[in-house]
Amino acid sequence: MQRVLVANRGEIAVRIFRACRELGLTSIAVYPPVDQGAPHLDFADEVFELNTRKGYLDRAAILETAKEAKADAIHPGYGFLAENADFARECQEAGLIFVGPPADAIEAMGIKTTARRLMEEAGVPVVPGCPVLADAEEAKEWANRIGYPVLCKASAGGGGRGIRTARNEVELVDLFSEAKEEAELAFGSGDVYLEKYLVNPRHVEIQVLADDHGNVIHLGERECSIQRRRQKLIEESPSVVVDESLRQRMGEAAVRAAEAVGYRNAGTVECLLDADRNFYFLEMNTRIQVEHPITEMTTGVDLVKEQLRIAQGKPISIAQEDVAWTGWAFEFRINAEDPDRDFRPTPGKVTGLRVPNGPWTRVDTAMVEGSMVSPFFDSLMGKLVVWGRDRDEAIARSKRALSEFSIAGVKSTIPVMLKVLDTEEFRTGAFDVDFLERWLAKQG
Amino acid sequence: MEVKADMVGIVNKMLVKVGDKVEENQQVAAVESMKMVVKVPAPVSGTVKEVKIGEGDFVQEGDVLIVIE
Repeated sequence: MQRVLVANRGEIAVRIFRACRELGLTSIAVYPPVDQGAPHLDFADEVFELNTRKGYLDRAAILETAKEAKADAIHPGYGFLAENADFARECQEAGLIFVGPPADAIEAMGIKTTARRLMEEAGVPVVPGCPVLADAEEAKEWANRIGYPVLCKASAGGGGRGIRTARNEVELVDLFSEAKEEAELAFGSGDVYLEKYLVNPRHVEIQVLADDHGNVIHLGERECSIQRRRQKLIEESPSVVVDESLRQRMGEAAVRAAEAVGYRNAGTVECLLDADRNFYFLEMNTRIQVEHPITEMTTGVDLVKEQLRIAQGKPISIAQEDVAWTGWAFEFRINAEDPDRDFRPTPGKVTGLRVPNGPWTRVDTAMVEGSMVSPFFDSLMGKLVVWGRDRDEAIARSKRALSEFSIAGVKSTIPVMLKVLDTEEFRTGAFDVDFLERWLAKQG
Repeated sequence: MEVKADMVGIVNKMLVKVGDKVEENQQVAAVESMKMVVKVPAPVSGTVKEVKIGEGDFVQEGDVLIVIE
């Protein structure tokens, strides 16, 4: 494996180009017409145009270009084709290495009801729930057994999408057929199931790595409870509520989860943690995640380089017993959104830019002054990642770095994140997944 | 009265046609940007006189979507 095509854009494409360069691999960028001249392309060794209007989702065009570019591997990044089992399979059939898990593992984890069953069999606790439901009658029966409120989820959904809440039987019957229809439209399958609605849980996830030599390790947790509309905004590692014993139990469960589906490469086991610090499997993200840098900061392990090494057939470069966590890291998602207008997207031209740096301050971005934030892609412009010896130092450093960060021309999430850092809840770590929305509602 | 897009994006839904009666605050269209869909409500009650934009069209902030009389 020498030539790696990156089927992605923006900051994650830059992240992968950098890892390739450090490993002495040739990186190949592809871009659809709308991304012509985009700044991330400058970081690749070679650049090819994708002749398609479907952009980064056009599997045939990407495979065709890979052939033309004589690539021998494809890194999908996150989003787009990263969790598309068909694409992973097509890569393999075309003789290309897919830098990610086997197609079967993506598929098993992609169907939530299948994943839940596999996890139960592997002894990984799951949120109380039920299999795929035939009709509203069956939904009622299960809901009575599980206890209200319940979440109605699309089996083929994920990432916080396709979820509805029912507080009682009337609401459940009301939303059931709508949920099925919506799931059919959004995910191509009308299968839905119920899960118990956990009150005020925290979202804590475990990073895992698995190689072709039977090694499966975990790299500890990331706390991702600061969310709005079920989308993460600020992440940290470690979590204030996870002690060594819980980390070990969650880590071991995550390793079992990965082993249960024959996992390879980097992945994340997402869990919910209730007020008594019981953890429940939520879903597995079968890709590198946006928030991977905080794990890199506390463990010193370069996750993207590990992905590439594993794809080359090499063993993971660190053994479980050698994984050690140092200090505290935060990640702030710098999104082109207007916090004063309900976080609505603010695409446009970046007319001025000052990116923070200084001690233990990392910014992953492809944005430069003059770049266009496109309405066609998601709103992530960059990520500020900060490390400190302890949580207080990391918070103080984060405030310093966020206040240095200035973006002119488009609105960003920076001002609201500075305010969140000053809340009592954030400073003490006493928050759950609903904290940010409750707090925003209070701000009016 | 002109109903304008208040966000750059792609018209994801156009829910009314010429001649339709609409109530104030009724959703008349949806604009999608950065994977987020924002509903466009009718600012007043009335009858749709013109539909200037179709589903899938790209709009700038301030572009007129429909005209209500």
